[in-house]
Amino acid sequence: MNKEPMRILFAEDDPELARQTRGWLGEAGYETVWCATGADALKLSLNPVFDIVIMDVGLPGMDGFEIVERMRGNAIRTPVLFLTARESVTDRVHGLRVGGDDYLTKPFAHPELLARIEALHRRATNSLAAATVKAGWRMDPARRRVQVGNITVDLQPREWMLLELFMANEGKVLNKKFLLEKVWDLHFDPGTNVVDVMVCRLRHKIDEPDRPSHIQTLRGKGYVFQATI
Amino acid sequence: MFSRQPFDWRQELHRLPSAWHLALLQAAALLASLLLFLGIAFWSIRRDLTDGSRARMQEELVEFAALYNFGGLPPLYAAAAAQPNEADRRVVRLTNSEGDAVMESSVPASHDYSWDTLTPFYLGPGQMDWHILSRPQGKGKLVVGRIGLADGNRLWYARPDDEELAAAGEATYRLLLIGGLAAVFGLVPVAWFVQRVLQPLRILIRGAHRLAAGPGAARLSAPHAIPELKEFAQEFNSSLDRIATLTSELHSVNEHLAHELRTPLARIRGNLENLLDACGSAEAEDAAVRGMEEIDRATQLVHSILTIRLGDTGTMRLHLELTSPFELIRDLVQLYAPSAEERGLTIDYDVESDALVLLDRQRVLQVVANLLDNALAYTPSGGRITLVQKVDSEGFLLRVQDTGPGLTQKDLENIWRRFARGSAASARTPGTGIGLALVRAVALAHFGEAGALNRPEGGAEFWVRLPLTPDVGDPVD
Repeated sequence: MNKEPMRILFAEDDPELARQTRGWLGEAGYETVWCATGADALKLSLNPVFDIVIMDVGLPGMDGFEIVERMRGNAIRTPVLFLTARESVTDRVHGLRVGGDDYLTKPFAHPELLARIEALHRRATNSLAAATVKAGWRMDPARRRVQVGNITVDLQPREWMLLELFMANEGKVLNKKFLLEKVWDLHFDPGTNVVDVMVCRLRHKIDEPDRPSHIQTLRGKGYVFQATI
Repeated sequence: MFSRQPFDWRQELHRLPSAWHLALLQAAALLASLLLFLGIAFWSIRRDLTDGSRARMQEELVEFAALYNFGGLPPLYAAAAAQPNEADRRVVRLTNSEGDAVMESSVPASHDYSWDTLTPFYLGPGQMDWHILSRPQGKGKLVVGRIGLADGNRLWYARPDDEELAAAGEATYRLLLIGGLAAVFGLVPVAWFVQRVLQPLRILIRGAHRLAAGPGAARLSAPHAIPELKEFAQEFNSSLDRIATLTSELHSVNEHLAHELRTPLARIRGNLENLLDACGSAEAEDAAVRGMEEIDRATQLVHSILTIRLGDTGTMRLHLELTSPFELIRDLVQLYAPSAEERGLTIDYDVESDALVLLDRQRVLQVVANLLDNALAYTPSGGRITLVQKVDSEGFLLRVQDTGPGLTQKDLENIWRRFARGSAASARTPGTGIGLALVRAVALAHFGEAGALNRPEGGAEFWVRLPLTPDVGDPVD
């Protein structure tokens, strides 16, 4: 028996964006319920059957912030990801303050949406700890030392965080924006190719010579980490 | 060479607070008019008194002469002694034609004057002459009148003007008292000016200073001010209301624009992602990837333009947190260091001092990132980028120095304008030229400043200065 698919409530008033996103969520194996108005979103969000709520802020009738505030007021603890065109820090902070768990601005890369959903779900179900232990890898967090195959390397703090993030999302596409936000707490895109160079440097440290890399670059999408090649 | 500034009283006067200035002017005007008034009054009183006493003296002299001519010395004695009060102050003297005194009634007040040395000369009967003698020391005069008598003798009559002097002095004293009182009343306008004009003006200035932070709900008010100032405050407030309306419109337009642009961009991006996943042709994939990159750039551009606009209109909302700039910038420098290395550049970060500063972390990070992007783009391989940080009582100062070609005069003038690009930019240099405009907008929103200069040793320097605490701004919520 397969385990039950994750159920997602998706509130978004733009039909085209909703169509695309539902497609991606479906491909990822999630079961999605979509609604396009504030009233419907409020009614559905008070139903505790969902594992994750993806909430647009600018919904007709009632804005997403208010809906989530009411949800929390009604003791519904379902993780909420705001998906919105509002990108100011003030809005982001407001979103997290009313009870949101994560915040993604439009336009977005769909792998990033999926990675964030996974992360939220893992956090909600406490399944994060095991994710960093991989076969063939010996990690020493105290000294930030990694042993893989016959290579032992010491990592810089941010390189360590980058590797941890990759390991926690093994096989998933992680884009530049997601890495910048999670590792460097940068919510904007620097003009210079800083992330490419950083990933390249990490790759040089953990890859064995003459073997394919653990971190693959997917053009236009991001990076994928594989623990074993 | 050291040269002393000459004392310029005009300039000193202009530096005085207005209340003192006005009081000083008023006092000077009062003093001048008081002196003038007193001078005229004293002079005219003195003259009146002198004229009066001269007339009385003349009358008496003629009367005494008549008495003597009629009855000789006895009636003269009797008359001289008749008014004891007067007798204390006047001197009557009778001399023969040689000038020898025949009779003299003297009073102490006359002793100071050597009046008997007045040259005797012939006076026919009824003829009079008058002399005014000054006291050799001190004030006062002796008025001497002489008349020729029928028997050839002369009758002298003298009187010191002490009394008149005292009377005039008394009058002057009273005038001075009245004048002083008038001067006190003269200061009433100054008090009025201070209370109704200056103090309200100060309140208005303080209010305006608060407003400089951005037209919030605060308005000017000066309840005790003169009507003109009240009217000014009213006019000012109604302009503020208009600005506030425009600002809120701008905010909603910005939000609307952001939403209206971002949602379609998201739709296009989604479709391109689907295309990339489904097409299977290298050429189509390449096109899809390029399209997505363009959309990401456009998104960033919209974000930057809106941020700059908010900065320009003084309506940028900051998310202020107490932050150590060193911890903030250190991580960013570490992020940029490998990229710099790849380009053959080194980045140094000199921290002269560090302390907690109230700032918007993300926006300041973006400022530093933009400056680093800029330095990386314009510094040729082999160069060096140096960040110098200082935090002191004046605030936070970051200087980003490079060993690039530096800035032309035109660059220095234009570089902060939107979409301006340095003259050293080439087609290869990335960026749309709004990075520096954003740097300045964020600095201004923090009540700081940003600037650029050419270093004497070559290369450009961009600097950002932020105060320790921006005066006003939205607190964390």
